[in-house]
Amino acid sequence: MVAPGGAVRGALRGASRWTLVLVLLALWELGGRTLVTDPRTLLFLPLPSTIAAAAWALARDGSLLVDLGRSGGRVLVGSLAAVLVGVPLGAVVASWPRVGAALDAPLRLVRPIPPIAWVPLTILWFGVGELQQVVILFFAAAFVVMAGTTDAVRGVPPTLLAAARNLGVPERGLLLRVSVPAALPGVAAAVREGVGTAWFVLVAAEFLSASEGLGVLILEGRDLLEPARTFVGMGALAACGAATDLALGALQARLTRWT
Amino acid sequence: MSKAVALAGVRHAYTEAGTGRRVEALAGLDLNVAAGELVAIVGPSGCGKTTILHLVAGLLKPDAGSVTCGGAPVDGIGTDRVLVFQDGALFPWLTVAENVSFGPRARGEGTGRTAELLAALGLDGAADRYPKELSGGMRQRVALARALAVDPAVLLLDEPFGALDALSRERLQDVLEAAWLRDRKTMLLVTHSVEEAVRLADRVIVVSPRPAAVRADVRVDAPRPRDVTALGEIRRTIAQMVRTPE
Amino acid sequence: MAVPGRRRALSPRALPAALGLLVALAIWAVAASRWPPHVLPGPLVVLETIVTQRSELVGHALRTTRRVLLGYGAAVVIGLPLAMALGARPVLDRQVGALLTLLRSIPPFAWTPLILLWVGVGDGSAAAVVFAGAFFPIVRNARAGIDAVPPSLVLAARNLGAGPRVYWLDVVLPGAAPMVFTGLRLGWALAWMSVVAAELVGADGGLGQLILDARNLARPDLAIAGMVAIGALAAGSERGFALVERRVLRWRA
Repeated sequence: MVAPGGAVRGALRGASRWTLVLVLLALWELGGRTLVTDPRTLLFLPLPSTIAAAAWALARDGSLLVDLGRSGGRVLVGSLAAVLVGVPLGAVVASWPRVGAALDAPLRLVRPIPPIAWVPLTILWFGVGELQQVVILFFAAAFVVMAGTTDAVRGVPPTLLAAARNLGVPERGLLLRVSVPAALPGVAAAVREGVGTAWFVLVAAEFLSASEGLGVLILEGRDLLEPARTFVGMGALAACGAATDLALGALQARLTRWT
Repeated sequence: MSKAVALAGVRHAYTEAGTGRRVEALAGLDLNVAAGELVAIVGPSGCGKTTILHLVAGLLKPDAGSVTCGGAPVDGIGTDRVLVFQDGALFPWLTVAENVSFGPRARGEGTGRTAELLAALGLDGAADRYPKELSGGMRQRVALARALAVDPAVLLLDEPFGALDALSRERLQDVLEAAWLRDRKTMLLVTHSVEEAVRLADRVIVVSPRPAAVRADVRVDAPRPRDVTALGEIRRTIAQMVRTPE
Repeated sequence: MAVPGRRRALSPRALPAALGLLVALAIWAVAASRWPPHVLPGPLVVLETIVTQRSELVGHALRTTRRVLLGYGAAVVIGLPLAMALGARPVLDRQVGALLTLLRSIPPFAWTPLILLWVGVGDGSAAAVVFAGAFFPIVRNARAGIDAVPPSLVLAARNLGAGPRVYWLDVVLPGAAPMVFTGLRLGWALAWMSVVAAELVGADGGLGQLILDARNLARPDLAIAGMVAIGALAAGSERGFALVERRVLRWRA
């Protein structure tokens, strides 16, 4: 048992790593207040206090929540679609070599194209709007999820399958009872990576064609000459991305307790 | 060149991970190894044999008592007391020859006796291979050659052949004995196998479990090279001591 | 794998793969026939565009590549020594590590407005976005690589008399190399993603701009040509990377 004093010390130690960050923030604030004479400089780099105030204002009037919801919603729908399409496709490619090769060949050619490069074309085809946004995110995430799933299913040790057959598991049952659990850690990791990619691409997608969202918030800072908004947007984006990653990481750990 | 090793009244305790308890590994251990002696340390698992080696190597400091090498107190790691690990700890990015010459090159001495050692340990065909291409037995030969290349005063072997199959183990035992006969280095060999101890050592130290203490110090007077079949009696005696607690 | 005595047979997957490609192309051509060429051009139209516009494509490609190399190079030159410094000094490691963890979550492209504000439109800003994308994976993986060097190897090196120089250059560097390469590869992939995004928003020339302009001019064939170019560059360079990695890490089990 770790003594209670040890727990407090542990917590303090964990918190102490933020010292540098806090010191930098303090220097930023103080430096801005005392050293800056031309107020236009603050347009380039607003003070932390200004940013915090802007964040508070945006939260209070609800627009931050709206932006969060919009962006988060897009990522959610795009990721879900990516999982629904990517996982089965990836499993098929891994399990049936011939069909898989046929399916995979054209996809492998398309995959190297950065998903963001698709934005102009998708605007042309789907017009500006939610559908186009979701399509881009779906694209970005689906490739990652599919590739990861293929690797995961391919990575199931054949000795495992052979043992299962030996023990009398029918061929159809093998997929569900052996391949799925064995591939689950890899698939979970692939999904997590896919969602991360979606957050990545979200900003670019929103920049070019959305009216609300965190990416838009970031842009507004420049257009409205309120750079604090840009920072608020960046911070919110980072927080969302990190939060989803943490949540998925916990889920992944839970699902794969036996590894 | 080889030196004597002495532990006098050594105490060492460590903090157990997880429980935070202080566990006494050694409680006043005395051990004397003359220069050029090959001494085997046997005992049940976890009884502190490795701790003794680590103390001599200078990885650990005793809580009380003294650890000396050639009369001088041991102060940290040094090239005069070289460890050989069970998994060899070869540098995977270096070839066999580069691994063996690592020590001399680090000291700016060129390749030293590398070629000679490779030949002596049956490695000259494999000089340009990478560790990943070698069998377990070959890897341990390289580990041995690498240790010998820095011409240590004391060689500390921690179950060096424990991970090998029986056949490789026997062959490596021959290799070790030949190396000892050639250079007469002081060697401390920690091993699980009483047979191995009796096969190789001048003296077999039986260590009792925690806290580790010398339970018996048996001289093996058989002539070299050793004939295993003639050592049955002494092997049984020692094995009996290892098996039964006091 | 050549088996002595047998002629090299085609991989069993080659035929289905070729079939799959043909089918995909066919589907594309059929779909394109149903829509006007300024919405969905067919594969042959795109091919023609690539050929006729090849010098323009190459020009844009060079600009984009230059930006990628600039940003990526900076990320390597700053990131690798930083990772080594962090590996050597635990206090620095914790503090700077925390700062990096915070910054790492910001998608590189989100830095664009700020970068544009500070640096202005041009090669520099695009390279800066590339840097923001490549820097974090490079540092993170290099740092992890240093930790991944097995402690028994570190011990053996010291035991055999390695001084600090030999330790860092001949033990830690090669030991960390596999993960360093992973970081370099990831950083490279992100660099390409970032450059396209940056060019879509504000740069003159470059493949990203080409794609954007093509859309504005209702020339999707040009856009697809640009996309093919980027894809080819990204894939080709990835291949190159893999080859270099295999050579340098040929000792890996």
